[in-house]
Amino acid sequence: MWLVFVLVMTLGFRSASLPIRGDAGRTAVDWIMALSTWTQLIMVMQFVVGYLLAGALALEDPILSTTAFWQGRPIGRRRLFVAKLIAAAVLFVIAPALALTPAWLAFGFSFGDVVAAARDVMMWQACVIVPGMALGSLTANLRQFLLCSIAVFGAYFVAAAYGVSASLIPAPVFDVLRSRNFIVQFALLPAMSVILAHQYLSHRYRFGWALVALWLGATAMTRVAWPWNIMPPGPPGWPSATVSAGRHEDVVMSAILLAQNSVAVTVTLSQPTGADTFLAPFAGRGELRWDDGTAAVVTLWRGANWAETAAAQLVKREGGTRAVPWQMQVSLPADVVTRWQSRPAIFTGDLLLADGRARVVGEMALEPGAQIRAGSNRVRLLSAQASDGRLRMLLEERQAFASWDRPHFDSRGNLARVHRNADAYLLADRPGGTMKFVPASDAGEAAMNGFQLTLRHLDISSEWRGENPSAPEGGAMVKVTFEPARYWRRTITIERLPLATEEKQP
Amino acid sequence: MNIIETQHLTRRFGRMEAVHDLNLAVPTGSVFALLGPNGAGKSTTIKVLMNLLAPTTGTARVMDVDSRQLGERQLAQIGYVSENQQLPLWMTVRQLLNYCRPFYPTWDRDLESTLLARFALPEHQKLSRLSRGMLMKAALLSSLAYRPKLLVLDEPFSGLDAVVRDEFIRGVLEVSERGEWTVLVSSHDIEEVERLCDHVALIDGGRLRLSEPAEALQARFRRVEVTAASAEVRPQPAWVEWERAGALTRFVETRYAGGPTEAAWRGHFGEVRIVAHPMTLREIFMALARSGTASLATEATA
Repeated sequence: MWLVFVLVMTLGFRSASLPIRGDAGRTAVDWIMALSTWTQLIMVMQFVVGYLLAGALALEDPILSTTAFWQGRPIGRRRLFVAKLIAAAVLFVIAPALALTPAWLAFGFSFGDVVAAARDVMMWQACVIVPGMALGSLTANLRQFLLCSIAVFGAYFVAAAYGVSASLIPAPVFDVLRSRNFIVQFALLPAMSVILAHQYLSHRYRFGWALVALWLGATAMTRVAWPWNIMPPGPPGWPSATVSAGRHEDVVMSAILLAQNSVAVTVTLSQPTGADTFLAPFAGRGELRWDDGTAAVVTLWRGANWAETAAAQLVKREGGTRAVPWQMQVSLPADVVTRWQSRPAIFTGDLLLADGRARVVGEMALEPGAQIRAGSNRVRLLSAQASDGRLRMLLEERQAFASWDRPHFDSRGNLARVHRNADAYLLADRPGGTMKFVPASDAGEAAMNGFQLTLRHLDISSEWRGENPSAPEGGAMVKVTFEPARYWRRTITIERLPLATEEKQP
Repeated sequence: MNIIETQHLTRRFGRMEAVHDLNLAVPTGSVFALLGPNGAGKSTTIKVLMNLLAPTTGTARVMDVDSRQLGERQLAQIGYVSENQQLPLWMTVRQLLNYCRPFYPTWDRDLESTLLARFALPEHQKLSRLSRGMLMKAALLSSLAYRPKLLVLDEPFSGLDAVVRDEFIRGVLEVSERGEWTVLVSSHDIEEVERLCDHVALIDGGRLRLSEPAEALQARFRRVEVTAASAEVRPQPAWVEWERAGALTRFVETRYAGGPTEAAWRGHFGEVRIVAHPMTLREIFMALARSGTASLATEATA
């Protein structure tokens, strides 16, 4: 029944759609927010029921009982443990992925999408099943299991709560806070795995509960008193050995000071590329030094509009013909920005590069109902409304989703997410041959078991109207993806590159 | 040679002592009845023997292995049926047997068929739809079909009607006739196991009161009736359930040894009419239960 529930709810989510209308009013945001809330509720139900079923699976042959059927039979502890693990894996981890696979394939998922979605579903299920079985193995019946679950996870959420430590101790530096979050969250599964294995292999339930208490205590102490930063300084996958793969003169960097002490750095690489492949800087790390001897450590991240130029070049059929600028961002303390405003800095450090392939997904007319389909990706124009020199559009985008497939980058408080596919929308005015990049801000999104639905508002400014007086009649929307290589490829070591700054014009 | 031995076995639950300093020996090949009232500590003792509970102090050895170390090899030779044992109720009888069979290399399919027919168990009926008596028979079948060297039955007859109880006992007897094995059966009612056992132990308040062969026990107990005994005669330590009703004096002799005992009676009562009746196990245990048995415990363990 649980499996049917998962399948039906996921297909229901996949089928949910906002009607095509002539406007992009508030209702679209309301709709996606309601869908998102509903999705989260369903996912919570899916996980809670999965957790209870895992506990019931453990309680089917309770360890603590002295009346269980398996006791007194020649079933060893290890054999029972392995049998339970196999049953849990098949019923609650593999079965949902297998049940959903036909749906994924039916909606155009590629093999890679299916693998990523299945891995995502299975990982989340494992995160629920292991604690369920661990608590089930520590209790004698369903009533005890429910009460202990409420008590243990209530205590865990209190111990892990952000507010508790903030009221008790001075806030530590951001990196230490991040380290605490990481430990508290990622210790849950290993801790529960240890408790589960211990309980099945030793049957010493008092010691098992002592381990639970130890884990809760360690969680609280970590949240309050963990003093070290254990997070790596760069993104995951940064090569340990730096390989010099470029010449100094291949790279040009410039900086634009933005509001709120943030800086956009443009890195222009003159590396030759193919017609649709680009060598892209993903991240950078190094030191800025000024002529007065002062210095600051900086880390560069992929900016919000990072791939726009590459995408534009692709649509214009210019790929590989000239150097491509890439937007990176960096956040610095106010005094560093002030210092940078007055004199140029010298950058010394590494740039992390990856090959990427850009692809035109499709093109669609600017008419409500028009759509682009490519594999699991489907973009539909829900509304397009021109008024006051602006063009407002609402796009519905569906694609494969796997939360574990998105590496997360953190640096100095700015969170940059690298999606599997960096998307860009461009408006192509084919008759005039001109185009304009359109930033696609999310109105909201919801995801469930491998499927993602995103509503995007596109708001084209009067500037664009001025450049394209015939739009939207003569315009078309082109969707471009830029997919970086899965693994980091190489780094360039840059020594003493002058990095002048310019103020962004309001 | 004893298949089960406990040495100073004690098991506590918090402050409550369920079993106290128990020294028990179950001879190999015996049908051993562990008797005692409800709450006497019988089930706790059996659970310790089956490694379902750990001893608080002392040791228990089963098939020459410390009970804490009982593993798959030993358990494949032990059959365990308990009144409270949970069965996989979602299975049918056939599924239960098919499920159990691979665990036991000595599983005898002929014996399985014979017992299935004797117990009249509906093969394709789910266990959840069986009566309590049928469930116990299914559990017994799944514990007999591999011809265990040791069969442990913990209050197997509780709540069973006489017909089912008889079938149960006949099933055990039938298998016991076919090979060398030991049966340890606990019960609060001697009548239930009287036909089965050749060795009895009485446990009360967690303490062993007596343990000896049933034949020897019956040989040393007599119900004695004395007509016109002198009022001056006082009961002896070995006499229990002493009562006088008019000219008739009754008591139970707990150390009957034939001629010498009868001579001793003459010494006490003189030349009056004395009649000694043999007692059933049930009568012996009723007498012990009513009179208290503290003085006999020392004797039994000695």
